[in-house]
Amino acid sequence: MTVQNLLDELGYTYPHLVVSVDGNLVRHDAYSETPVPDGADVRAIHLMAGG
Amino acid sequence: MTSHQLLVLAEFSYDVRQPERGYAGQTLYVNVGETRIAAKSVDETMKRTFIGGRGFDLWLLWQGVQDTTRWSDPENEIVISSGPCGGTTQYPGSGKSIAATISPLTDIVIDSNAGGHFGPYLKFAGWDAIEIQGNASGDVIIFVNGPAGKVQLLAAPEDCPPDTHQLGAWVNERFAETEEDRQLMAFLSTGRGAEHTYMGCLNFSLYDRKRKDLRYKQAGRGGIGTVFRHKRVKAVVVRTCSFGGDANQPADLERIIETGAAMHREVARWDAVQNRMRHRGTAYLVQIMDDYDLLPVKNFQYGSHPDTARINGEVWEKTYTQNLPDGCWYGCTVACAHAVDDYRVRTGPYAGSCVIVDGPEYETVAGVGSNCGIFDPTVILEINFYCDTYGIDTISFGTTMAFVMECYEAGMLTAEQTGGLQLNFGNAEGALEVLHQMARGEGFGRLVGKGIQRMKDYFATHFGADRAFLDEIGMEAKGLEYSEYVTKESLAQQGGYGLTNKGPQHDEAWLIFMDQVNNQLPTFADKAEALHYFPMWRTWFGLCGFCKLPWNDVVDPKNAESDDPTKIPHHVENYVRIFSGVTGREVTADDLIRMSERVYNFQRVFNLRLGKGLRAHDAIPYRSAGPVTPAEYQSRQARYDQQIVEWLDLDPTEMSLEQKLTAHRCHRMAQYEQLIDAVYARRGWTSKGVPTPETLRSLGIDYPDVLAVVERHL
Repeated sequence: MTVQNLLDELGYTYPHLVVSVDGNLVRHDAYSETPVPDGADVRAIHLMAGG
Repeated sequence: MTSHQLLVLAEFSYDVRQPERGYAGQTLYVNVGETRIAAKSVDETMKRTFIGGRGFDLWLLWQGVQDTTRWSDPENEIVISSGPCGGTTQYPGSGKSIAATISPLTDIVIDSNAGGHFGPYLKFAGWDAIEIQGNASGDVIIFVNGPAGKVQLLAAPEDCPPDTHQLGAWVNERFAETEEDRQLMAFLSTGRGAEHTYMGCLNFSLYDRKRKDLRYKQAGRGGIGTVFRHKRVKAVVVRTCSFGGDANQPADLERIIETGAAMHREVARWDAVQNRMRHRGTAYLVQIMDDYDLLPVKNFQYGSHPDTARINGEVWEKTYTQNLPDGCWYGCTVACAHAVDDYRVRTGPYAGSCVIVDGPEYETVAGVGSNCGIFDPTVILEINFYCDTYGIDTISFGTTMAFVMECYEAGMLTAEQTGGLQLNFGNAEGALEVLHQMARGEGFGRLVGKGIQRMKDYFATHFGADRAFLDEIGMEAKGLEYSEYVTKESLAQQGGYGLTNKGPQHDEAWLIFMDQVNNQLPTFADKAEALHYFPMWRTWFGLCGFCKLPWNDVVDPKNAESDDPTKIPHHVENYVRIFSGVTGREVTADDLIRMSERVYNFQRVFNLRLGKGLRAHDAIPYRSAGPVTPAEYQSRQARYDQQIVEWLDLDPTEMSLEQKLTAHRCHRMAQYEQLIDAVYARRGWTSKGVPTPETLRSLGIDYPDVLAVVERHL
């Protein structure tokens, strides 16, 4: 599974994300090729916009 | 020069001062009742304490009114100011104006910001703010003629059109003689809807050079337009002198240029792959909000709808005219202000006309669209056009109409009571008819135009409606209608709406992602800190003349590597540099927050002075916190049942639906009360919501009359 697969699964459509896998930041253009190992600590912080 | 040939009621000559370091150094006072015009000087203390924009508005208003002043009294004022950085052309979003008055909806101070050219032009014509007091006996126009160094109060003739889009053309005809004149003029106006409702907006013009026509941005919230027309003001026209990129005479233009250039590069590089503001404006949010169950649908009952794709950003990108400059203020590369050209109006007094419709922006699409169960973009355009030209706030109209529709479907309101209108959700023609009635001050629309708070009283008293139910579903707080976000699953955002100075408008804090999606605010202390920092940060934009959008709607991904990505530290640093570059005051990011704390607490005390501003006034309708009806609960049953297990350690399979609704209600409202305690403590307020004398002293606003107000409540 890649970062992009995971985001799709979670329904995270917002484009303004800060994503890290096991503490390593993943750039937006690398979501599709960055694997998510089993048990990895994945964080997807939605930056505020809106309002 | 102009030959407007209007009757001059009063005239005032002045020396036009070019702004220095962002300030013109004087404010303009016009009493339309006494036909008196005067200048007031701006001293260093006023600049240091209140900065400008909303700060100047509040300070001038405080001195102009009494404790007992209500919105319609002659001593009530409308004050408008941009701020020291307003009019900067090198950094995006630097042309905002902030208007303030005592609101007909809330009976406390309302502040509302708008784009357009008025605020900067006023400053370039020699004035940091305009203060309008008194109630005229006939329609008047205020004309600030910068190049001539003259301010005139004029009698408006009978042929002055009633609504903004026609009034604009009339103003141009009367006051501008050349194309350049049109570009150097801006004006304020509203329409007939503001005369007959409490939710009148104020339209701020901009002359669109490419279209060679006028467009408008709105200070929408709280009925400022209603006060404007009650004072019998038809328009405030300002003509400025020719100006360039150094019109503010900033202390360090190079620093501003350098900071702006970096930001422009950032916008150009990242907007296209992030929110596409340059193509979709704020309407990009429609689909995002739906995806996260945050889009208000049918009076905030639900957060998404299968038909949202019919009104989402993709649709608006195709509908807006593309490849024309933004125009909201010069130099804004974020360029979110879009318009639809050649829209043919199909209802009401302007049926058949071809017009420009500004926007619609996210709030309008969500408010008059999904929240009313309307998913037809042409209807949204029609309502948007009429709200703007009639001078009616699209947010209050949308939220109010949604409330009416739910009342109708719940049997609280019958067709007999609405004058024959069947106001079910999705009835676009019904909504439009109500809008036209509001503008005429007739029929059921006349009642709707008074807003939700007064409708609740009326429905309960005259129609026998269930008051408790109305209070739970009527999405207003302090008398102001909610803007368009579902907050049920974000306690922090419930506070972001409820614990505001003016009422539930999202420009103080928008914490839903941080709280609900990211879980970055797990404790009450975390939420309270966010409900201190972000309202203060966003208040600061309104002190200086900035738009909030360039702060966080387009961001270089390098921000992810910063210590606190949610605050966008490199953009905060941009603002520090711009403020210092304009004013010559070397400041830090903490200093900016301190500036806001001063003004924010002053506004809270102002509310107390006017008889509100206490804990009871920070209450929210239950729908803002949780599900009111069985249908609402059942629509997200898995989520709510799971919460009963996690939060209350109860077994939902052993509970009736009514028991589950009650359990949620008790828990969620108790959480909100705990949040209030935490936020008040963080802000330096008592548990009643009163800023303590120590807080006021530490901020340097412990003036005797300010302390006297809070001491009555300690």
